[in-house]
Order: sequence, then structure tokens, then C-alpha cells
Amino acid sequence: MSIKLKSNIKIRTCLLVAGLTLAPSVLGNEDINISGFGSLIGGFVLDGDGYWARQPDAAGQYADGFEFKSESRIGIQARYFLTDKTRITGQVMMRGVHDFDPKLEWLYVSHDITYDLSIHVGQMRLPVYHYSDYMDVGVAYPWLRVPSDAYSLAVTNFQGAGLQYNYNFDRGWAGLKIYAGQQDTDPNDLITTISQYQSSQLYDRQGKFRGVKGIRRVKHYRDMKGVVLETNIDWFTARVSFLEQEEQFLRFDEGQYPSNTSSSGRWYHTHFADVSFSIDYNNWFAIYEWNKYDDLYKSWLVSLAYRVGKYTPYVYYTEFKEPYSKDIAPGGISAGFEDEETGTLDVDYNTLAFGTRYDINPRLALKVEYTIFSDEGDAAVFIDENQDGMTDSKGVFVGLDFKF
Amino acid sequence: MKKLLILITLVLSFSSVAKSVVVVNSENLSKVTSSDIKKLFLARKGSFDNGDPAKLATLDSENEIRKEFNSLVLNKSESQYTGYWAKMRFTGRATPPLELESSMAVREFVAKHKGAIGVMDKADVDDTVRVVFEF
Repeated sequence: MSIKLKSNIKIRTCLLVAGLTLAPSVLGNEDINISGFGSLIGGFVLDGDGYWARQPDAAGQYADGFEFKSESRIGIQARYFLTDKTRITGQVMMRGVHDFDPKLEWLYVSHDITYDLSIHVGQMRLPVYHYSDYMDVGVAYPWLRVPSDAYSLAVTNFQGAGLQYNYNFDRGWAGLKIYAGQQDTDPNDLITTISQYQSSQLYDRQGKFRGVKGIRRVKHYRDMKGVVLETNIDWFTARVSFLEQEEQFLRFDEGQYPSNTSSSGRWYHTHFADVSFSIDYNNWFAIYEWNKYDDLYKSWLVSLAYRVGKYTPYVYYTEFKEPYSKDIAPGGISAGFEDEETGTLDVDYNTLAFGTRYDINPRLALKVEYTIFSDEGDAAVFIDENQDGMTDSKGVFVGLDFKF
Repeated sequence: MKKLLILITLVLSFSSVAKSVVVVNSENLSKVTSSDIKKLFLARKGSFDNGDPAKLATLDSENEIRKEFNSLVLNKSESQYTGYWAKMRFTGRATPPLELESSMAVREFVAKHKGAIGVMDKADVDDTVRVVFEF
């Protein structure tokens, strides 16, 4: 129970930091608004050495038995209205992947210049994807998890400012968001874990997987500038987002952090673009989303869901392709993992999933998903016991999403 | 035959009588259409035509009037409504309508705040509020 106690103290600290208890008398005041959401997700692998849905902070790993901690999460949000038009919003996330230690996810001040035009300053979610802003809020979408092969950007939040303008018309609305900021990720959890499984898996003499090397990947992002244009007309929504930035990628071998990086430390000018179309018509829901990170990778997803009473059965397919990876599979190039046609190492995988959402009540949804992961590339995506670079797997997952 | 006609007339007239209403403060004379109501209750619009910011009130989640309003006017099931507002709230875009336990509480809230708009039972309407929509 000591963990729980520690967490409680940390939550309180976070809330304090968030300025949510600026004055103790504020609590219980109608100007402050506290709410939360969560997802308890568990699953096991039916076939293969393990499955990893690439969620923020490297969550989504399933290797042994029934695992509950990898993707489970709870979020608590507080908003304090300084005036009718100005408010502070703070959101703390406790993720199983971090042993449920609270981390401040969002903390920003927003001010409505008019109802349709607002300015936001602080730490916010990087709004690159269709579901970026609410990918942690399971009750807001049909799937057990957002189809993650298409959500692989290694930066989730940023510190900076944004301006949001909404235009309402008779049959819908259009929104324009522009933002700018920066972010440091040290370590970058997602890239570190990807690299660990691609190039630093460790096996004992019997060929049994015994972990990964303590390598570290660090990413710094500067001069981030982005724009999001979204429009909704009746049952149709289209969204386009574009981000450009300067980024620095530092690789550290085991024991070399922080002084000896094997990277040049050079800053690269990179671009990320994402487009999505979705339909919400009567009981049908469909979405297509596609994105591109310069020439580094492309990924996309497509999904169809149908609401029938309390059930929403769904299917999705999602794919990730990185043609020129610099990391290599266990065993290395000499083991013959390179692409026979191009001679390069590529990362190429996809997921096909079938599942359903069941609304127990409006605040509580149960989800079940059967996931088929196919590794078509050269490098290992996750644990690779036979060290052949192929990490196909199948798994079953159960989730409970709630809000309070 | 005559009896049947009377019966049909009765049934028809009974079914066309709305039981529930959307009300604003009696001093609020802005024109409010059903499209405005939908936009206000989905946070697509924030104020009335007179410029006053809107304060939204609905009934508790188990309430039949609220369920009917969400389904008929907003075109959302209770789960979709909750999901929609979870998205709006947790992305910091808007705060959901206040949930009050009774039509009387909605009436009192609307009577007290000039910019308020609420969903309630028609039977509890008095002159402190003005009906802008019936369903």
C-alpha cells in the first residue's frame, strides 16, 4: 500500500503545482470543476512471443500471462474559472506503464477573446492526429484502443501557445488552430523502447529472452509550428494537420548516458502531415486517417463500426511502413534480415482487429478485442525468441472505460 | 363510428401535446430556434443573439425528459452524449451542461441567471421563464 500512499502525496503535489488549489477555499467553490476518466485494460497473447500496441510512453506491451498494467490509466482534470472568460485547466495522468505515478499531462491557461476565438498558453497535447486530444479517453471512441500503428509520433505533448478559431454555420462548423512550442523528451520512452527491441534484445545460451540493453534515446524538439483545419458538416468530418519543427536525436549506448552520444547532435528540420475523414451517419461510424513523417515513415488506419442497441461492433486495419530503418534486428544484417529487393532494412507491420464496445451505462463501457498483428518488415518489433526478425502475434484484450 | 372518431381525435390531440420544454430566463427576449438549441447544448455556439453568454442546464442522467431531449433534439444516445462531453471536457474545449435533479431546480436556475437555458417538464413552467421550444 506504500505505493498508493506515495501516489496520493504526489497527486496532491501535482494538483498544487497545477495551481488547482491556489487557495484552499477554492475547493467546493462552483468555479472549480473536477472530473476524471480512466481505462482498465488487460490482455494476453494467444500466439507469438508478445504484442506491443505502440501507445504514448511505450505503453501497450503484453508478453506473459494476463497483463493489466501496460495500458491501464486514470486521468483527473480540474478547471478553475478565474473569470467567465479565463480558466486554468490541469490534467494529471496515472499510467500503469509508470506504476500509476501521476504525471502532469496538461496545464494551461485559456482565454476567450470571443466565444469563437480563444488563446491557450501552457503545456498541451500536440494536436497532430484526429484523436490526439482524447486518445486517453476511452469512453469517447468505440475501440479498445486507438488503432496505434498509425499513431507513432514520439512526441505527445508540447509547451507553447495556441490560437483556436471556430466558425459555426447552419449545418456544421469549421475550426482553425495554429500553435507553436517546444518539447524535450529525455529519455524518449517510445523511441528508446523501439530501439531496445529492434537492436538490443538479450538472450541467454538456451536462446531464452532475458531483457533488453539499457540504451537510451533522447529527442529534443524546437520551433514546433503547427496548424489544424477541421470541418464538420452534418455527418461528415474532415481534418488536416501539419507540423514542422527542428529536432535533435541523441543515441546513447548502455552506460554512455549522458556524456557519450553516438549521434552527431545535428538538428534536423522535419515535417509531419496527417489527414482524416470520418462519417457518423445514423448508426454507422467510419474513419480513414493517413499520415506521413517526411520520408521516414507513412502510416494509416481505416475502421468501420456499427451501433446496435448497447453494442458497437467494430473492425479496424492499421499499417506502418518505415522503409529505411537504421536500427537492426537481433542477429544483425549478417543474419539476413535485410530486404531482399532493396537491400535496406525496413520496418513494416500492420494490425487487423475485431472487437465490440458494450455500454453498461452511459459512464461505463466494456470492450473486447481480438488483435492480429503481422510483422512484414526486417526488424523485430517486439520480443523475438527465435531471433528471425519476425514478430507476428495474436492477442485478446478486455477493457473497461469510465468517466467520473 | 362517432365514438371511434372521438377516440382518434383524442389520441391524436393527446400525442401532439408536448410534455417537455426548453426555457430561457423571462427577461431574455432573443430568438432561439431548435438549431440554436442544438448548437448551444453541443457547445458549438456560446451565446444568444443578444450577446449574453449561455449557461446550460439539463436534468440528471436517469431522467426521461433529458433522454428524450438528447435523442430528439441532439440526436445522441446517452452513451454518445456522455462520450461527446467527455471529449469536449477532457480536451478543454467546453464544460458540459449543469445536471440538476428536477424540473423545479432547472426553473430556479434559469430564473436566477439571465443567460441560462434549461430543459424541463412543461407542467412546472411559470412566468419566471420563457418557453422557446417544445418536444
